[in-house]
Amino acid sequence: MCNRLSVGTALLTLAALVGLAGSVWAQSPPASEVRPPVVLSHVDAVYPPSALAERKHTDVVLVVTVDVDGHVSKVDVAESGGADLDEAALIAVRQWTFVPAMRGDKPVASRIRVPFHFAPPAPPPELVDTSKPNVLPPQASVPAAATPVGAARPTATPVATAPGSAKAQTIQEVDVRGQIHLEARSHGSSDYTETVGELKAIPRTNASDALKLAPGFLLTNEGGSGHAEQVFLRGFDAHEGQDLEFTVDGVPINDAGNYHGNGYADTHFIIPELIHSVRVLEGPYAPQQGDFAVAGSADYQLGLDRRGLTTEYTYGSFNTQRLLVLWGPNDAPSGTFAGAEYFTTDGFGTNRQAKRGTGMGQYEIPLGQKGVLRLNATAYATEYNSAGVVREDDYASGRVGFYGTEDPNLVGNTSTRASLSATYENHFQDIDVYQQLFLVDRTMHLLEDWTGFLNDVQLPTQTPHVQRGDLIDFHFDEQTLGGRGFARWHSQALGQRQEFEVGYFARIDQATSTQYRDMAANQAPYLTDASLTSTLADVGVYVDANLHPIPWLALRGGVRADAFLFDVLNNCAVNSSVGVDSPSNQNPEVDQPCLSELEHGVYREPIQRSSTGDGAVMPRGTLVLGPFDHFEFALSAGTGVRSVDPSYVAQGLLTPFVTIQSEDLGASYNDRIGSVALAAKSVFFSTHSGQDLLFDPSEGRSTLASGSTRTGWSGSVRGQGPFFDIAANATAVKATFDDTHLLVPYVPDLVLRGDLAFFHDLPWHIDQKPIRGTLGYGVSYVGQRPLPYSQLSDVIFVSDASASLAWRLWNVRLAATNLFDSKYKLGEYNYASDFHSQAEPTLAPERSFTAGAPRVITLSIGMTLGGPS
Amino acid sequence: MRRTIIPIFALVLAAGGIDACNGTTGDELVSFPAYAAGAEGADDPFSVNGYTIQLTYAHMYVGAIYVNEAPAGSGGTFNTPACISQGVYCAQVPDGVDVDLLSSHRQMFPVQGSGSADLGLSWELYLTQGDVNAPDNSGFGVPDTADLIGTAIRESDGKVFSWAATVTINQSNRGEPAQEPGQPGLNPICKQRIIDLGGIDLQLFPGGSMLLTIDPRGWFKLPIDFSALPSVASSQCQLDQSSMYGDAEYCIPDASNLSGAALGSQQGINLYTGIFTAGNAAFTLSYSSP
Repeated sequence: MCNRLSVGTALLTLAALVGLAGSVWAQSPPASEVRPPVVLSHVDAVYPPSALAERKHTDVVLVVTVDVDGHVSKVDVAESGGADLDEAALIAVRQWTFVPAMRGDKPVASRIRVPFHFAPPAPPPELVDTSKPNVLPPQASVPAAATPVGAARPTATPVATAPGSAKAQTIQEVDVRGQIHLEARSHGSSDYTETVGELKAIPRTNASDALKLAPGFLLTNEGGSGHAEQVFLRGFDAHEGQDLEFTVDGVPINDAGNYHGNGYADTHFIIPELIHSVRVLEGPYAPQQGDFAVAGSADYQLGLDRRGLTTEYTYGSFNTQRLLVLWGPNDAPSGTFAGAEYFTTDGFGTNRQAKRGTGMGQYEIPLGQKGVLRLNATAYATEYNSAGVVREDDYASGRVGFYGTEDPNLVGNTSTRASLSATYENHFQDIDVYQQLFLVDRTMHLLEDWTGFLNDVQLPTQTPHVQRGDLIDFHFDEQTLGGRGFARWHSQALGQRQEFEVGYFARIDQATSTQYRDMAANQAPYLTDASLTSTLADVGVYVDANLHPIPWLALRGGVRADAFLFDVLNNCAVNSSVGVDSPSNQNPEVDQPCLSELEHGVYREPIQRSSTGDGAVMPRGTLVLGPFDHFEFALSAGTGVRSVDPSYVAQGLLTPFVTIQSEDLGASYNDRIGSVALAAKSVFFSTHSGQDLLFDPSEGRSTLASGSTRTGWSGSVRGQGPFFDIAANATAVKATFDDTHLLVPYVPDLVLRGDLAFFHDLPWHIDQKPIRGTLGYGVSYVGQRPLPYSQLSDVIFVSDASASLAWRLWNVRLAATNLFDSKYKLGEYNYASDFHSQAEPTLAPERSFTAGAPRVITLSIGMTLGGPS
Repeated sequence: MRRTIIPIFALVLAAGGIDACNGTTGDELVSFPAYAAGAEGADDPFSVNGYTIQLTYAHMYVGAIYVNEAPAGSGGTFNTPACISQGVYCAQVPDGVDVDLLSSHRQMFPVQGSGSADLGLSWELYLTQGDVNAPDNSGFGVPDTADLIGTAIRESDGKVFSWAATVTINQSNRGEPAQEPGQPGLNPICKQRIIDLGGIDLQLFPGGSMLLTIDPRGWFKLPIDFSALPSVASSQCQLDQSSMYGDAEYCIPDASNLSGAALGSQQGINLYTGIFTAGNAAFTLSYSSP
């Protein structure tokens, strides 16, 4: 299956869009200006009966904090009108909803002053004694009611039909406060900054799931819950991160020099509830994007909007348990938080147990009026088992269950991460400055078995042996030190705001990768596949301009230059798997994998050092037209690079990176229809890679292949209203090799995703506090994927859902992933393997798969102390 | 409203500009039934090396069949000790069958064959059941590689010899010792259990079937002196094999390659070597429509 772009149709349609827009256009405000929040719904305060006796006219002024979802998160009394009236105003304003303050297109928390004027209800009318028409009743002063003789005494309670009115007056002040992030400039239609918002109701098991808010993502996992997801995006098999630059608030996540997969990115250390938004830029169009940004880049932006101390316990299927603790001080911005998580599960089948612990803390220190120093610390550790693949013929014959395993020895995988970062941001008169330093320590121990008993061939130098097994025993250890920074100058010219940014990125990694083959009988290593000690450096410099020659035309882009240095010590340079033709008879190296002899017994050390370096200059740019009546059009082009793993340098590769060329043409739509914010995008794209990376099951890692080209389309739409948040996206792509024009295997040609959340106060109250209900539903559809040997995978269709109730401090949530309990194959492969499940070896290609998780139901109970009531 | 709906429709139309069309990753997976059979006329008398031989019983155990895209003798196929070729395997029948070699009737393998729709240029025939790397693949319930019963008439004088033969392949009787201390793994036992053959041009396709034809007459190209065979009662013959030997008076010993001095040992070596090196004279593989 593939796509053939109807370029003519696309261009014609885009032309129609421009024509329809006519001459009416509006300029969206510069990103640095802030629009105050707008009241969506409000409730009048009720004049409290307890204050009726005084019948006073008075004002109560509240300082109200409006969060990014438009809800009231905190209220303080700035000017009191008395305890009773203060309470009445507080009760009312907590029920107000807003369109949140906007900085550019991004909602931000804000604080506003809301005055309430209390006027007592009108007293009941005086009764006149008509029996004495010439006698006027005594004139009593207001509010005391006169009580004419015979007149009914006024009731002590206010007239129900005339509640005291306390109407809010014009908002007098806006003090915008929130995350002080220097805004990234949009680089075309493939630039998605997706706020989780109310879509947090969709069950997400890990941070990678948040990527699905942007179009085109398919995530699979064949290695277990602590293993990085295999990511497919826009026709790329980004494997475990090799073609996607992952960062968390700018701190790199991709491993450099990871033999298992260079660019391996494990995002499981991120607590999903601390993800404020994800910026996904699909394609290499921003000069800020660095190594691995081939299919694009994803930056997780952290923040905790729900302030207070939140504790949540979850229990669910397969003895899944999770304890989550989050803390966000009330008087601090959402960028100040702490979070900790403990998770354990028995797993949904054989070899799927897992445990993990995570701690994340961030502190934002305001520096003056516009600056901030952000300190972040993270620690993460996990231990998990892996089921690996299951052969289709073994499953069909009943030898192995769908959720079973071919090799039960894949136990004891681990992964850890610890990081520290410090980020300085400040705004001066016409220059914005950003500087970040980071330090990361990573380890992982991985056990995988793709082929069973296939690769352990008898070599002449080895003692005769049986097939000992292909179990891969991989260990990786890395320390990363680096920094990034930029200075962005802005000024007015030609009547428009112009910007110019210069920046840098530097990263130095010390990495050790070892991979052994372990015996199936006792898990003792018998062969060294690789043992590499690497020092890697990547230093990038860029310039980026954001120019507006005329109001409806923007030119964004510049050029980036990266220098890569690889210094690799191969500790097993002469590997017995390569073989030595004529080893010495006098000094035989029986059974040793790392040899110290050459032909005819010439001695050499088993090590070899290789060094190489090279640079890449990458121009990138975007032409933006609009907005025209809420439409904006963009044309983007750029070059990206992907560094190779050190094993290729050890083999003599001189240029340690692969170059990618990419182009985009797209349209965006943003509008507000009543109380509904609507956004939509449509993008055509094309990407060419000089050398692709293709997964090789016999090696358990991706290896360099020939060049490839991807063309396709993606679209997305999102509507956010006062009681709903709906998002949908679709991506269609064709990926082919340049030399053979055959399809690139494993890449999905069609990915559809839909998310919707409904939320509203329910008609029931407890202690005068409403109960808020939320429903969430997410659905994914992945079309048949091409597999090797002209095969097609099964379709994937999976739904997730949740329902929650919140009242005051408490929150109860019932969630289900794979709601309809589909039995689906997450990954499918065609290759040769032999797990000794048949009488004789299986040496020809057979179908294998990794099973998707069955339905998992969880119940969560949480409470938040010290937050908004 | 119109100004809102039409642009949205236009976006959808732009999205519809993509047409789905076909593509392939190359090759194709196939599965097929596999059969084995004896050659026509295998039970007829044949003359070789001064004897007229007629087989009255001939069975062979075929452990598995593998087809490789590399030509025989190229690179990995048995120029090295590796018993799994470095080439790409395009077909397999990974289970065995006991074949009556005197019947040309198709005898089905117990498993479906599988592979890819590629061109096979060489193939491998496994001769034993179980792990080809295991030192000993014999014993109770384990089929012999070959069992033969027949007669041999010495053409010089017309003397008739009734004989039987059992062939097994184990480290003890077929293993070759290491020639060089530095290469102890040069001659693993698996090499003695796998026949590597070329001379095929086998294109697999969906809907076809595979046929292995074995002609035991091709095993006797090396001279076997039936007059120098031990009696079935002697120690060189297998114990408790009288039921297998039938009415035979003599046996061709399942001899070790190293014990050539014992009576009949050389005949046993020649029979095993004749099986192992018969090539296309005894073994043919074909793939065709059913």
